[in-house]
Amino acid sequence: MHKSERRKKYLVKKGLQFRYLGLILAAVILPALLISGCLYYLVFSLMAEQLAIPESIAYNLMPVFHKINAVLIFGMPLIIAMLLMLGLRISHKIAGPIYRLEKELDEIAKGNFAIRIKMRSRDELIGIAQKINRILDMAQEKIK
Amino acid sequence: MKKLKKIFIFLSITFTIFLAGIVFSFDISLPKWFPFSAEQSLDEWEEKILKGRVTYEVKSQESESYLHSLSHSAASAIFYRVRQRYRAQDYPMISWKWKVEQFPDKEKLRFRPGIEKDDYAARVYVIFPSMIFFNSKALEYVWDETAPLDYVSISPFSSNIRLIVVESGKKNAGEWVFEERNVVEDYKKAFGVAPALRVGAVALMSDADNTEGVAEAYFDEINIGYKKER
Repeated sequence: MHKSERRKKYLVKKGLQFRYLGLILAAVILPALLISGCLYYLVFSLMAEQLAIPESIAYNLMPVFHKINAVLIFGMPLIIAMLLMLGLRISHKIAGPIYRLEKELDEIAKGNFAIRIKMRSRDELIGIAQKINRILDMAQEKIK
Repeated sequence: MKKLKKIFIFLSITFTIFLAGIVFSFDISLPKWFPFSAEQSLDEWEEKILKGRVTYEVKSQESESYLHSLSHSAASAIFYRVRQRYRAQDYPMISWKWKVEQFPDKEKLRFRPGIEKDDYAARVYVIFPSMIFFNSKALEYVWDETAPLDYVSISPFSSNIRLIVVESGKKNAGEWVFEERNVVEDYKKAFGVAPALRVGAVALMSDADNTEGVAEAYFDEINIGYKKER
């Protein structure tokens, strides 16, 4: 990515971005929690059922259970933080261009046809921006 | 739409009948009696190995047959899963006969932590499994050489396991002793509350893994899940 295309602000349109962020997290975290929760329960229940003898469960299974819980307690916030950052980047890729498009269209609506909509090469709405820029080029030529 | 509704109702009824069939096909079949009269008597029991393998064999002498357990520095149990878990309040009694030939020598482990002294020549488990495995509870009836009769202790492995001394000392060693216990009363005494979970399994064990010695016992006529006639 070109240096000038780097994002400086990741929160440009809070309402929209938070909605997308919520959707992304719900789509990723909820199924992941559901599946891992079921697996977690199933694995330990089956192992406990297999070991059967209470001392064996207490001696062999409980230490594993505690270790996994400790890993989860420390690991989960990290994973959630990483997902939040990823969600923020993805939501910015959608919300950033919409914010810019709205701002530039407001300028055009005021009669400033010299303005051109700038987008990053990998932004989602670059095709629309290029088409609007072409319309603006044609409009300016006709005015001349 | 109407057709879909009919199909839905039909499937619901079929599914309900199917479920009811499954539920009612499991008879409670209590009380459950284990006379250990043939070698196949152990088919219903599962072996659970903790450390090494204890020999569990049905043996007979003259007209008597019984279960013989022999541990050489090993700990393994035999485990009977109750087909349909039952409320101990409904069928509170359990009884069995046992005989201890050789106790594990715990004297040499006198100063070691409890977890390393947890060897008994004979113990009978009543297990109350829970959906959440670490909430499962267990009562263990043990024959202890030193602890007094009816002494209740918390297992060094887990506070969900309570041990009750139902036979104490060596004076009855080598003799058949009959035990009959009210599981609900014992549970209340051990845990302070009545059992909320159902009885899901019974297990027997002789172990001498910590003492690295020998434990030898006999079990017979185990009867679980019955009411005491008054």
